[in-house]
Amino acid sequence: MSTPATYAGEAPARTVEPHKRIQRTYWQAARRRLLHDPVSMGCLGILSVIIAAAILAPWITPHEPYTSSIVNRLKPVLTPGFVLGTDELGRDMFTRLVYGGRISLLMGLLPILVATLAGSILGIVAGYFGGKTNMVIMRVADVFFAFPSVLLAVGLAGALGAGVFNVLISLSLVFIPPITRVAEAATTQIRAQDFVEAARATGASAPRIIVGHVLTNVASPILTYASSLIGLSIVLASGLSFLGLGISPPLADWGLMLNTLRQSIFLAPVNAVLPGVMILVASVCFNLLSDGLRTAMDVKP
Amino acid sequence: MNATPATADPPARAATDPHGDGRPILSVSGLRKYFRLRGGSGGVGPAYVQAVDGISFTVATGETLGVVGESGCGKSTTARLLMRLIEPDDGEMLLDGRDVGGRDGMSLRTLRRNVQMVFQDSYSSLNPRHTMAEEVSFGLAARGVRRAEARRRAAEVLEFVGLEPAIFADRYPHELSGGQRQRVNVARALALNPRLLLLDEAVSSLDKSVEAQVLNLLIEIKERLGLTYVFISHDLNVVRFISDRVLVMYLGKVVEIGPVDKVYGHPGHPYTRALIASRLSMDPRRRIDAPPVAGDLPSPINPPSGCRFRTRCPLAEPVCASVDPVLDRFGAEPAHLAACHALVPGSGHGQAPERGAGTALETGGSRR
Repeated sequence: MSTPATYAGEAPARTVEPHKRIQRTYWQAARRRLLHDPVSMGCLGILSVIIAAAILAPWITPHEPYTSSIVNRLKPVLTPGFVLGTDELGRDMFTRLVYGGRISLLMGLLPILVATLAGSILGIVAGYFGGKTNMVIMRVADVFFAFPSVLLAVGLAGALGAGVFNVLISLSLVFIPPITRVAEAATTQIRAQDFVEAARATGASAPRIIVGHVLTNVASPILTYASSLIGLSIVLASGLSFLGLGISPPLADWGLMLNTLRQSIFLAPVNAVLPGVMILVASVCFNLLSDGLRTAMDVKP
Repeated sequence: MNATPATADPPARAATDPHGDGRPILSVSGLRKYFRLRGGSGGVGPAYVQAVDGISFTVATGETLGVVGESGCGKSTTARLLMRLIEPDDGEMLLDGRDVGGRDGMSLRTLRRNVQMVFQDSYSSLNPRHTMAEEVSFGLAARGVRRAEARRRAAEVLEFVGLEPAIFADRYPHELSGGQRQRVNVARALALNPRLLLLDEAVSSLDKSVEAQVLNLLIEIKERLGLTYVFISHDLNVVRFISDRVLVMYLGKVVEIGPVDKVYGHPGHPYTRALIASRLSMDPRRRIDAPPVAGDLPSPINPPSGCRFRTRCPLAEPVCASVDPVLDRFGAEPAHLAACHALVPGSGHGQAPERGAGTALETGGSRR
């Protein structure tokens, strides 16, 4: 072995010039793919309209959301002046749906956002460091898992008392354990890969490896799972409202509207179903968007 | 093979005299790692996998030390211990004569600036979400090198391992072949300018033609950059091709160490002899029918007492079960050591050579 054999297939040594191709990081590439997905963009469009309407509610609604009118009770859809009819107290359905969207979207998005942040941090820390850290975090999460999520939300909201803020807190707490578990499982899997060892061997610190190597690989399962929970969160919030633990009338979210219109389902079925349609549309859009997100974040062909 | 004088100081000397003959870049003594098993072995107390059990060796500056052994003998654990990816339970490790990880010794950061590792599995050792430039520059960025500078360096190193940066810098691992991925692996290690490279089965997963290319690349890199290699492999021919000295491991222990031609030409330990005999020949008339070593590797959880090879050894005698043999010189070559009672005069083994006489293994020599 004294002299190396011929050096086949090697590029000849020459001066190195910095390459000038467009450099895309993983995140830029994922965003680009998402923007080129028609289904995701369609869903994003619908959600943008719903969210914009919720934000701009006072300026785009023709009526007051809380003033009732006995004479205008349960007007059918497309009645002049009431595009989507009225509810059992004669309030404009369109106005109520737009205002209800404010609270429903808040209930759907904010707890998931908080839970995703907290759950990801907990899960990644548990998965990356393993051992005792993992045991403590995951056993605490298991305690929360012992209760069905609805029951847990009811219990927490009951303990904290009614009100929008307390519902947000209790919903956030309900969603932290499942997201923690997904994050932990994904991180544990990535942690065992050689490229994490290699990164450690370069002397990189744990936070840097987590940001540079772990996050890019676990973000996709976490975000996919979390966005699929948005619809559930909206539904759970309406359930709490129904039990008197969430918001209280005359404030409305879609869930509460669905519940109060339930009694009128035989008199004005279309009106009664409208809040449910809104929940359905929002949930499906969030789910499809999360699906598109997962595809976009999956680099493999 | 004569790039550097091959040395294999006994461990005690290596520890006290790091700058002896051959200027070892790395000397290891008594390195030990037991992995605790969950639940125990059914007996009393916890069970341990004795992955690496007190190994000692030195690596001279500029040489290539080949490490061979069967799967599960502790080769990869040794590499990870040297890299401090796992903490050793015991043992001392000197890099340039400085204690690594000790109280007033070398920091892990310094260790990892000087020593880098190329991993075996070229698939799991590259982040599927990183482009090659990101992957190679990650370690530099972690050291505070500016991003643009790190990318420039990444392009430089990619070029060095034969990957055109304009083509490969922005590719993802799944867009590369096995050989290209392994080159990126090498590039990532080289980006940090190490002096010692640990190659853990670096070419084992490649097909033969690509393996030869990467081996040639490794040899060229070593010569151009003046590196020192610890080359871990189970492939005896590859180790013979690339190494100056060879270290043979069996079940977490070093059984033989010496210059490559001595170990391959006059193996001392029965295990080494069996390994050498098991190599496939290019000549079909010299076909091997019977396996030179029978049976499986014993469990490292309850390794055999005394000599760990005795359960499969053709020379095993009662003394082998009671006394653990130590690495010792047995032939004319002072750097060639083996741990076998049959080679040591006065060990109590039936085939042990007379004091001052020739050994059972035709290589003359005596103990001290």
